[in-house]
Amino acid sequence: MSRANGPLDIAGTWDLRAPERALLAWSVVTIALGFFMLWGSTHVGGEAIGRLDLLPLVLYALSLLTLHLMLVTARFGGDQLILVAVAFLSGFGMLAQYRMGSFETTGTISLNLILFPIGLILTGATAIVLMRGRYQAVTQGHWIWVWAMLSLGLLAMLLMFGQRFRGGVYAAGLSTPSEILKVTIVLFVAGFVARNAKSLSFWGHGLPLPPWRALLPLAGFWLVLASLLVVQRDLGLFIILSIALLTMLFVGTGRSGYLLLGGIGAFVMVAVVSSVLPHGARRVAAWLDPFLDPTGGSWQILQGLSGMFSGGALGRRIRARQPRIHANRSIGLHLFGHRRGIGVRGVRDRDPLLPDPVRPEPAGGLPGT
Amino acid sequence: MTTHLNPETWSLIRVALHVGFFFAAAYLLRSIFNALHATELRHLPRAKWSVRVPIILLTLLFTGILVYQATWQLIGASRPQFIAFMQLHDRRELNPAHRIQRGRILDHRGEVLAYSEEILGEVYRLYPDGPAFTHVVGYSHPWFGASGMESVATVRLNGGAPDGLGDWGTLGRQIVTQDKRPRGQDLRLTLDAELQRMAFGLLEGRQGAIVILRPVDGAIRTLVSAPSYDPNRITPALFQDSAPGAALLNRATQGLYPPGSTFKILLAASALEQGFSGTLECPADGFTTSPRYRKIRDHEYYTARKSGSVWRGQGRLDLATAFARSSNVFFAQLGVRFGHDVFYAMTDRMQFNRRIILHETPYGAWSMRTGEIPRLDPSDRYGLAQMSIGQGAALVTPAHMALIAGAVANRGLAVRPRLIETDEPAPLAYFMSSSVAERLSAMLRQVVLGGTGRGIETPRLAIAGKTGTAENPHGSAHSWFVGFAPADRPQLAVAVLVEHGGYGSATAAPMARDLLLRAIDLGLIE
Repeated sequence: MSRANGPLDIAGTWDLRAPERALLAWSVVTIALGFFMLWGSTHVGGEAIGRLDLLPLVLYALSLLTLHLMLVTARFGGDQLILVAVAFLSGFGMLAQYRMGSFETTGTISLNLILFPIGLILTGATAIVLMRGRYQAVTQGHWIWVWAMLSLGLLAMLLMFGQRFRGGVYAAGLSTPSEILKVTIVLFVAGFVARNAKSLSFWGHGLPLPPWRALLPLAGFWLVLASLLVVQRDLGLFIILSIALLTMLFVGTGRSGYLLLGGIGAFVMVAVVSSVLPHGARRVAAWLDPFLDPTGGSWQILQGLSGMFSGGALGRRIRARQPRIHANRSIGLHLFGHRRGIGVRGVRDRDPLLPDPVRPEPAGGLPGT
Repeated sequence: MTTHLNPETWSLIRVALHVGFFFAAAYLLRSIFNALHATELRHLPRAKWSVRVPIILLTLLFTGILVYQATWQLIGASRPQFIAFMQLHDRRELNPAHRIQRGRILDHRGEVLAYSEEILGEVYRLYPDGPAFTHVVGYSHPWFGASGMESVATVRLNGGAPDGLGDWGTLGRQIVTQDKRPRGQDLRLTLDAELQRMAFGLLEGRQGAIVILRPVDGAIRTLVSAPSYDPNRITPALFQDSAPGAALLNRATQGLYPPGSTFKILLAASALEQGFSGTLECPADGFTTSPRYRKIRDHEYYTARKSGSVWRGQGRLDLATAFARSSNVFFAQLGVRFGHDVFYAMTDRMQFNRRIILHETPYGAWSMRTGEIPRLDPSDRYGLAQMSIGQGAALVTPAHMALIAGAVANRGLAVRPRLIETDEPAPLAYFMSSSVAERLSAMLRQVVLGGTGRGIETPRLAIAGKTGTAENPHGSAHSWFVGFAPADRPQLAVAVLVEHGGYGSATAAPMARDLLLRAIDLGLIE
């Protein structure tokens, strides 16, 4: 589907991108079926379906169509599957967000909903700006090291000025600017691998050992990155980036050894993390037996499992998410407090038999009978 | 959508939509994989080894995780701890765990104290007696979790602790039929509902606690704390009240109070263990360890002073007489005479500064505090004198005083208190020797026959006990009575505490008498 020499006119591009169009249409049909399930459950549950409820699906379909037309008009001849994969996965995201009520507002259109088409159009615009080989500019010269330094600098700034909340480090408003690393690090690694593909694919004759010298700058960078992410307690991001690194090394050099090396590295990392970092060890322990510390380390795991249990195998009560208020309206605030981890949970849940004893002040030596 | 969709029709449509959704998603994924070869970047080197095997392995691993994940949805009900977690900590009211038909909580005669009932498709936990049993039974609520026995015994109440072939069979059927609403097992407590109700009524409008237990096997027949709250109507305000008058506080097991003269039971036991048989001079002017400290005096001194007369003092008293008259001057001297080591040996033996577990499961422990006796500096003789009359730094819970009375009644052996009928009785500790317990029993009987407790003497029952009037800085004295009956063959031990109730002989003792007489009617004393 990709062509080295792009089509010259729009009609040709229209024909060229027919597979993308068909797959996008399937994606819309699939996600629409999901929306039908949600609407049906909501309706049967006694809630009304308004026009705004239809908006997420309409916006989803229109955004995909717009992006496709943008690419056709710009005579974009690049990859056709990435957009389909993005559309399919983000469709699930739309369903989940709709299910959780992220798009609910009082009569107006939710900002969360508008972000989706904006994001897609920005994606398309970026692809168009960087097409026909222009993307190579961002990895030329010292640019790859700019991405690398930007990534590390961002993390360092976050650690210096961020606020620690429940173990992790966040920027103002509990935002996570480190998400941008998923772009900058990929740019750096892709550029590095493309530039050093030959030396990185030379694993030596006889005993297949990795080219240490060629890997040294990358390894050094990864060590610093790992340290910063460990201090930030974002092991999840480190794992995602490491998998991206291994994939790019494998695809860029054709060497399966990198995958093997990655596997060994993963084992070593798990061993080190579980023995050195109590945080990591607790995570593993909570995963192996969530009932060891149900109200502490396993709280999130068990709440998640409990949520799935509530939904049932076929999502029978998929829309019935709001607890019914029986007697006291102020209970809503109470629940809010619980969800935020404040309020009385610490007092009551942890010691069901309740609070600190009254401790009357001892009296002086007065008469007793 | 203005037309109404029939729920039965909808369930068919829903299955069709599910199937359609999964087929559409599967077709889309297949199409994407089929088209993958067309997106290959041909200028990149090809791998020597196929990555098909690792990818298949990874897929299998993911599938394994998905299948495992699905087990929580499909057979989650067979994991008792999971059900317990959801009931205690998942506030989604829609969670099926909240609709499980929990077992009932019963008193020792089988009277229902808590049960579940389905009303219009929702299962509610109901407590017929409202606040009277709350401090033992607790509550179970979809938003507020659970407390008391509802929390501690939650696995059993949910049916997660099968104790017979029939129970296992039921559990198996639930797994096969994917019934997420199994029926739990009943829990029988040692409480006597009638006696508990009466005790709760006696404390109405007051703050205090009453504990009645069987000395021989530790079965608690009554455990009341007032004020209480209605478990049928839990509100957030309940948890926001942290004042000393909070209804949430179990005063019987967690409230620490100066024991006043009831503490003289411990001093007397200690003196008898030490072989004390002499007399002590108890002057009207009282006793102190240093001129710098205020004198400890008997209550007769204050009564005489109030009426403008002169009191000549107790003169020389022996232990039994001083005990019956509850002489502060005598016991303050006695405590100082034996010293700190003997005093702490006695409090250690009687399990002070501890928490006694009555019933424990992974979901919590039903426990009681004993008392708090801080270690004083060995040079602090005045502090020791104060503690010897149950004032100063000495603090104790009503449940512990009942336990001590039970030990005296049971020839010195304290049996671990228990609330669940099926829990085996277990010895806790010898609080004193058998001979000391016997002599002390006689002394306690004398208190009611001719001492400070004579106001509750009744021909129907030989009550033995000790009154207490504990001064405190928050207002009137706390009123205490601690004892057992019948004196010659004890069957029930009792501790009554009424906060700011005044003289023990006037408030707490009559309550104890009424409860013990009622226990005869109920067949609890034969």
